[in-house]
Amino acid sequence: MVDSTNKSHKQLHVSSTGNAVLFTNTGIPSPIDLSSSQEHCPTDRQGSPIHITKNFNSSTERPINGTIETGEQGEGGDCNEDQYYPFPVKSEACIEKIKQDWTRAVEYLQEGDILSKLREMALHGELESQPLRGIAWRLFLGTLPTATEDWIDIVNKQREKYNSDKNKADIDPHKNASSHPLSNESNSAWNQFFLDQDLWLIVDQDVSRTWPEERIFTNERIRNIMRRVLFTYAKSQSKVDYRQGMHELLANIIYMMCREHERCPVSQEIPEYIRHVVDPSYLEEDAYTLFSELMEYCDIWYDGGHEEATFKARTNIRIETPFEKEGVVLGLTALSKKLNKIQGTLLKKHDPELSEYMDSLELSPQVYGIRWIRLLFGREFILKDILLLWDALFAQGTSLDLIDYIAIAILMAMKNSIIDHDQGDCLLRLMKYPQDFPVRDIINHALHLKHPSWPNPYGSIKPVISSEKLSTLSSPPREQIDYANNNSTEDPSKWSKMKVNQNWKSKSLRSNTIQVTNTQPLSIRSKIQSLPRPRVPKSAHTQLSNPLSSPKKQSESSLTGSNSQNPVATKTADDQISNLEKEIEFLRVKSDYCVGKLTAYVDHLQDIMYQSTFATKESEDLAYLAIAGIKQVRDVLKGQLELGDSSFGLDSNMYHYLRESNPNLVEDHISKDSPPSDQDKPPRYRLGSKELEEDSVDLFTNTSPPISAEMVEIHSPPDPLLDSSQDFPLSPSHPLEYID
Amino acid sequence: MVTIDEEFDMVIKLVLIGDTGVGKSNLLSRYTRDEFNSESKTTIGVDFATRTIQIGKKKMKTQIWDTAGQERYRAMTNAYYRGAAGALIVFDICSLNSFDSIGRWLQEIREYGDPGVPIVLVGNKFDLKHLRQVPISTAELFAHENSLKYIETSALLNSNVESAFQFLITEIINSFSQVHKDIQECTPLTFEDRSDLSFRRKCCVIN
Repeated sequence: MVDSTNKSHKQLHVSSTGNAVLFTNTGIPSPIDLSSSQEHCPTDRQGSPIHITKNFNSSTERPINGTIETGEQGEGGDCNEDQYYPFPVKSEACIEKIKQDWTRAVEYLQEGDILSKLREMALHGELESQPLRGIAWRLFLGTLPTATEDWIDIVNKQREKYNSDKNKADIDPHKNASSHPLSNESNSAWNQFFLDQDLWLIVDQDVSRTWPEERIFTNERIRNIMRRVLFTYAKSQSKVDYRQGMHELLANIIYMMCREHERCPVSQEIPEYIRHVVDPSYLEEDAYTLFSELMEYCDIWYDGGHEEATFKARTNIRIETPFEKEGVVLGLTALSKKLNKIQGTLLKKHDPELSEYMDSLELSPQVYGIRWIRLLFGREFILKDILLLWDALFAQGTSLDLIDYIAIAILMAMKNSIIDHDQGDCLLRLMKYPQDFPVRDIINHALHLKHPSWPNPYGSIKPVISSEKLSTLSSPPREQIDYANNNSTEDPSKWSKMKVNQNWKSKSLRSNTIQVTNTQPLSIRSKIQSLPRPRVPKSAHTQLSNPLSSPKKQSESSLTGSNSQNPVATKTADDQISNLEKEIEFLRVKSDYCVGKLTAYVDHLQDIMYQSTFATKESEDLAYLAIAGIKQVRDVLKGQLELGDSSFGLDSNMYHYLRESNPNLVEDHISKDSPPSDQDKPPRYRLGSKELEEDSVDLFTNTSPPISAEMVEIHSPPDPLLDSSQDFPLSPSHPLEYID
Repeated sequence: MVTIDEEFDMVIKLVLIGDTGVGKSNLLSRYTRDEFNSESKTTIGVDFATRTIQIGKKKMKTQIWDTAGQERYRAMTNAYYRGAAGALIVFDICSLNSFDSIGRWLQEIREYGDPGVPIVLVGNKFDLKHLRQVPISTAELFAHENSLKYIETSALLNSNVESAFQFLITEIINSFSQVHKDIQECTPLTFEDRSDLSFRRKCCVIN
């Protein structure tokens, strides 16, 4: 299968940084030499492999040291523009434009805190027009530090790591003399080799079916990069096997990188560290690094938990899990839990009517949601829009919890095509999401749902964000979109955006008057004011001027700013507000980060504990109680659990603080006179976190709806912990108290 | 699940199961939209489509659920099999692996699905007969041993796809009308083109 006849040797140049840079004989740095014919597993129509040749290492085009021997690059091959896709020859004007873009971008980055600037841009959808997206994603996901002086070293190490992972992943059983192909040993080199063949087959099949409508993914070079990266990932990361869907996450990363490489800096004036990071010849390595990092945060949604669940179902072994509700079989995956939370709690909070209707149809979120989450909405929008969505998603922290709100925003946007339709129709709509829905509106609405101070793109709530931001944010409502026939306005299949808007407006107006949640911006402010002033990053105080925005936009924004408000009188107030906003944002980002880490560590801990045996029953109980406590701390941090509702209770300081910062909240609780009888009292928190309680609700039977902290705040009887008749400090209620 | 609906005489839910890449999504798109896409994307989670058919005087809406071949975990299986009136287990006649998995799929549907749910075994891609790895006789024997019906299809050539679904639906209605006498007015079932049901001989001729 290996065609060695037309191999060519290439010249190795060592750049000033000591890195090997490959030049082809045309003098153009070769992005990646992908020998299309020799590695490609020939497939027939429908992708059935005819036979598999996993010629994995033939593409070691750029050994760190040693000779360069590349795959097939036959006569004329180098000149074939298509082979260099996506790096076509650029015109002079184009090169000049790129140069300017980069110069501006670099200038912009060099002043102040890179990370918060890039976040700002990402949330406002401004990375699209800039060459900085790849760098931004790397910073958001943490593959690059904010200190630019370390970039070259770090990137070099990452690239080396990929190559070493790749070499390790490829087991050549021929080299292992002690192993026999017919050996029955499960860990024999040959056995592993055969397993690898199966893995390669699945990866190959998925890669061949990736974004068939995008030209770049029909390119065999790109496909080969994907195959190797996915294979290496699956082999080097023992946590999860390769699962379908990962390939599309990788594909989107590669797509982003290729677009970035198209604009890769050609000028020597661009600092070396940037040129090094966006070097097109390391597409494969860099894609692997970013993909692996993304998977660090996403792999839990790919973790099947299937084997475990099936094992238990088949063997009838019931392993008691702490925090688990009676009757729910172990094996709800992290993904399922997340989806239950989205539809069961978040949607209920933000749109009770829609949530109720979906519940009545027994629409389980797993049916439509698995794809949403696993692919990070990668099939729900067009590629360009997905990148915009991911900008905001990554900028909001690695816990990627904006996902939940994006899902809610999508569901709410589709409300009209759900309400009053039957289950089948709803599922059809949910699974064939109209892709031309304005993605910016979804993102902004999601951000608004997550942080009520973010302006609502549908304009029903008065935005509290500075006017400067507003001008770039509020996009006018789109024209009416008709996804079905035009015959009748009453046609239920008609999917009208305008209708949705009106619906939302009236909804939120109503809810403004009755729901506590909408006062949140206010309460956050009052809380912040009464808090000791937090340490604020330097950048947060720097003036918000974006040299990257076009002059036209700037003038527009200043225009709107001065038109809408008296500039002199409001300037200082605006500045203060904007600074406070930034402080809040910074605190939030920090706590998001901590929540993400906490969750990951607790999950690890819990996994280990499930498998361990404890010396005594008490020590086991104590350990699980400790975990439960940590989870509550996390939920408080997340904002899903009010401090007063946690089982660890409040000390007097905290109580007084709460009362001062948000008197309404506490008064509400206190002023309710009749204390609940014990029978009426909802079992608010079972042992463990709220999340677990929600998740343990059987989604299919649709019985007791989960109780969220927010719901509790509004609808529940007064919390005994906040009952003024009790003395302080409160003794922490026992976490086991509500367990049946 | 066979539900009586105001608009339709019946709504039934069918599920498509089988290994990844055997062509489930294309069977679905061929049956519901008469489309075939050789580059269809990998199904992630579940896909879903409906088609309304006329059987005798009865109007019936079929909801067909198509799951990702790799998707096998509990949260999904519950929602997926719950209320399914019938299942098509699909394998690729050019892939012995996909045939070997049939047992596992069968076990799964018998475990999670309603008891006695009608199942049809489908060997897809029979246009690729030069690559056949699963002999008809082997598949038929397996089907016979497990009391399944066997049919070979080609979503590409649009061959036997209708028959496979019709065959399953017939089974469902027959078993359903045994329980509910009031539906019996539509029996004996007559599809418009009954000759389609002689699919087995057809396959043999082709191969």
